Amino acid sequence: MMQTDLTRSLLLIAPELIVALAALVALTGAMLMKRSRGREAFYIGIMGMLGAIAATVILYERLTLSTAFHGMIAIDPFGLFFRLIAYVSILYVLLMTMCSREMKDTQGKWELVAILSGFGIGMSMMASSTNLLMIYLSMELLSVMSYLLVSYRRGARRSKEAGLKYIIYGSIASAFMLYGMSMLYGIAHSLGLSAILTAFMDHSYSHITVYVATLFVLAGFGFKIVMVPMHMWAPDVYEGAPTPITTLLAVASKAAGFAVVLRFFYTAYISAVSMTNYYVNVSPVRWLLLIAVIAAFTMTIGNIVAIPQNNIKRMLAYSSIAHAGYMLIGLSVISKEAVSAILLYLTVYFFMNLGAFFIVMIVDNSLYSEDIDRYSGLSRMSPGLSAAMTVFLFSLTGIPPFAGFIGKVVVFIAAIDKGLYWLVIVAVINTVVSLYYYARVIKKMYLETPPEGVRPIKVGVLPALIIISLLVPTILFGIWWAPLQSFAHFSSFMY
Amino acid sequence: MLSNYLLSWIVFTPMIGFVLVLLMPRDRVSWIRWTAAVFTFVPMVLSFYMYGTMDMSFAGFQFVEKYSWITAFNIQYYLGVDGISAPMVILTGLLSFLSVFASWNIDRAHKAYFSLYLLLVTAMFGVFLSLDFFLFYIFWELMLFPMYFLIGIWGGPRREYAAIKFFLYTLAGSVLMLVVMLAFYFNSTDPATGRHTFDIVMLMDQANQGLFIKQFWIRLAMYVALFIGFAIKVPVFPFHTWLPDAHVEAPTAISVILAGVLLKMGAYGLMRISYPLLPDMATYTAAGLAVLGLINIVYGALVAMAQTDFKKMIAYSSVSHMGFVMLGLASMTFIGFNGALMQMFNHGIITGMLFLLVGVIYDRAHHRDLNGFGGIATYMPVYAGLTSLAFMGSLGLPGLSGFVGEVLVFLGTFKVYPVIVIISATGVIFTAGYFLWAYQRVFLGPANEKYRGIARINGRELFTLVPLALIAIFFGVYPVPFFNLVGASLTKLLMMVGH
Repeated sequence: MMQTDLTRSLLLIAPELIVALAALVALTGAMLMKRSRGREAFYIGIMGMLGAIAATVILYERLTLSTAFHGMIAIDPFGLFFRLIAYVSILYVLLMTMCSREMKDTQGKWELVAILSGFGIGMSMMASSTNLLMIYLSMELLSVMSYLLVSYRRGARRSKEAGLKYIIYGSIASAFMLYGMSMLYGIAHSLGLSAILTAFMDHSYSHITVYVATLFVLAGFGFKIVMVPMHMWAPDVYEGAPTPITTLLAVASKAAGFAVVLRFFYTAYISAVSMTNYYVNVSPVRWLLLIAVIAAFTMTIGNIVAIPQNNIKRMLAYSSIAHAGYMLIGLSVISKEAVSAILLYLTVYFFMNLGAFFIVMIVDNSLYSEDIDRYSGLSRMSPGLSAAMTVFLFSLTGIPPFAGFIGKVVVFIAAIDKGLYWLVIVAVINTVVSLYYYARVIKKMYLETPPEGVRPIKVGVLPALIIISLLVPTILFGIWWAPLQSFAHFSSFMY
Repeated sequence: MLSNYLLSWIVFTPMIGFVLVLLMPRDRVSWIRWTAAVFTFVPMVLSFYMYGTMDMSFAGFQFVEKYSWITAFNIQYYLGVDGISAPMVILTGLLSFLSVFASWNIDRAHKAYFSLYLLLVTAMFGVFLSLDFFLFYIFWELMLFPMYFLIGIWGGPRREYAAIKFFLYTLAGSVLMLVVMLAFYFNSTDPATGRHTFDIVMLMDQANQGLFIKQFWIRLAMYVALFIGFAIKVPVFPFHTWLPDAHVEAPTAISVILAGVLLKMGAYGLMRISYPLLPDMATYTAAGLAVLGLINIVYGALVAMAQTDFKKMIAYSSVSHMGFVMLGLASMTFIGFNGALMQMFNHGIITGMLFLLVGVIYDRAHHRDLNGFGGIATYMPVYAGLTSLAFMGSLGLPGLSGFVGEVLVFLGTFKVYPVIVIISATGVIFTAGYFLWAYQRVFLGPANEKYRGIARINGRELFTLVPLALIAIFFGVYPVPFFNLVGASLTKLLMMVGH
């Protein structure tokens, strides 16, 4: 019995095994091929990720809902969705790193691939864990890898500074989370998420304990989501980290945060009313209202502070805070549609945000600058890059016919379905505010003339292909998102 | 075949042109221009064909195309035309074709200009023809970013400010509309399937609206939010401040499109969405709308009189003229509605002409200061003649179409709000004042030596102006075809609002 469970479990984590294998090969390569400039490392990484993506897709296709490793992790569409996001983002980050000027001379490319693989395993476990201990372990794995990645440019001062800031904030957040988890253990006498639900249903507990526990746990998750007031680290870290890593944090790390927070609340705090499609909050705390208020603050603060920024990575950092706020709207109501809305938003956000960061990196490769002012007249230097950037920025604003609009609309629909009008009104006002700073970049690119003597920016074949691969979904899903809708809907099933 | 997909062809022909222009090499300027001309000419002809084959006694929607688009949310691709949208579609077709020729002397980035222009045309047709709220919203928003670039890149000295102001104002209005749209969606049921719906025609039936949006305050809030969205576009005082900036900075052709088509969308939105969906609130707030109309008329005219910039004067005259539309809509009478719709159409024709005329003189003199000319009639007699025609049309001289619209608005409204009409009528006097004064300063008086050698109006410019002039004269003498077109649909609208 034991034997078969283990074999079955190992099969179900085949993608992670492939990634782990890639990490091992990369580490061996680091020892054996000291002379290598590290290009081979990327090939191994890319192959590993492609293998993992294929394995994840196969698992998704032939899915039977189950748990593995004695109920420590769940194998369900929800988890597989995030595992897919994890490996696809790492694939893109690897490709980005190959195109990056900043990372060109960095030592230790082999190790970079190993660390990124570790990040991927951490994220995929985070999305699948149904046990507090497992959540904590996988989150720490992800965090430690992130700290290393942020400070990866050993020579660059701001990269090191960013890494240190990240570690300090991250450690405090996870300390709080651990304390919160220990309180939940005190209530449920078990670390399993479903045990907490049973405990909530069976007994009544002191509200204050549950409140404090929820807040503390939320602090840990909120750190990953970049939720106000746990957002302070993001601008500094986003600005200081090498751009591919910033992208990883903005896209994958945030998705991981949402995976774990959704799984946590929907398994431990929310119960489905039997035989219906309705869910109710069975915990003694009104956390929905709390999340709604946090969502309002997150988007408002993110958007308002983004306005005066002059560094585009910093601006996009604040914009990513604002987007976390929009996604949190989906967490302020409980329904199947809300979960699938968040998943859809995350997918759309993946394409447009990755695209924006990628172009920032390509521009930085040529202009050696991340200042928004340096984008003046970019349309003369590279019409293609400017046009793509414009699409990504308008999509981030949420203007039709781009995918970002659809992301917002499905989240708003989920909220209005439950009568949360005030939050949607706050969100749409925020949309108008956000136009101001996104359009500022567009204005620089198109409406201003470039300084004298600038040369055209050459974009290579690989970067161009990457941009197109991100641009097409950003436009296509804005016009025809039915397939994305059904994918997100199916992926919202949790064990 | 053509009739089955007529409206789709009208909407998407410019889109085909957009793709073609994008594929062309950027130095082939004349290819690009003529592509734009052809791909706006075709929808114009199709819109005439639509007019010719429409059943005018039928009040409902014709040439309907209805397909499921996003099944999960019951969003449809739903196009249709009736007597209210038909004049707007024809106006869009006409002005978008003529404006291509007004764009002939765009001096840089032709490819970008004409591709954005064609995208804008698609969006404009889409707004007037969609009958699904979601589709309507997509087209409504799709107008924003081409317009932003068209003003921002090819505009005048303060173009950046004007472009972003236009963008922010309109977006602010339309996001409010988004919330109302979603509120309608969740409080509606499709009687056939029991699902929520974005179908405007279905939402017009009050029986399909849910209990939540039957509450007075909710309804009022929804009406006001929707109204602000449309009012910004019209623009209704006090939301009008984007308009003078945008108009003054935009290149000639874009000013024509802005004044001729975009401003109509606000009023069209009221007639297509606000009135039929929330008829009780439309009646409840009608007096307020009449007062706003009055303010638009008188305030717009007074401010126009104070201008020294030719284009700014016309921009404010638009504010004033759109006030008549508001007043006509507020009257809730058949005559008033007819007047409002007629005024919308006329304003598109005549103000389009006025902006083209300003463009003609600006291209030659490179300034628009009303006090900087004088005696231009001596040098450009044909131009002076056409301008006088447009001015007379705009100030409501009998025999030109502007008069018909204004008189019907006053007739229809007088029974309901006599005092407001009497005060508004002073606006007509002010209008005559600023137009005649402007005419005197620019065209009459001693001939300014500086402009002795000024080039006469050329064939291309005449080509854009003469059709509009002929329409203004035709409807001034014989407006019956217009009333035949809109009558049935307006009667139906009036029944919906309970009058």
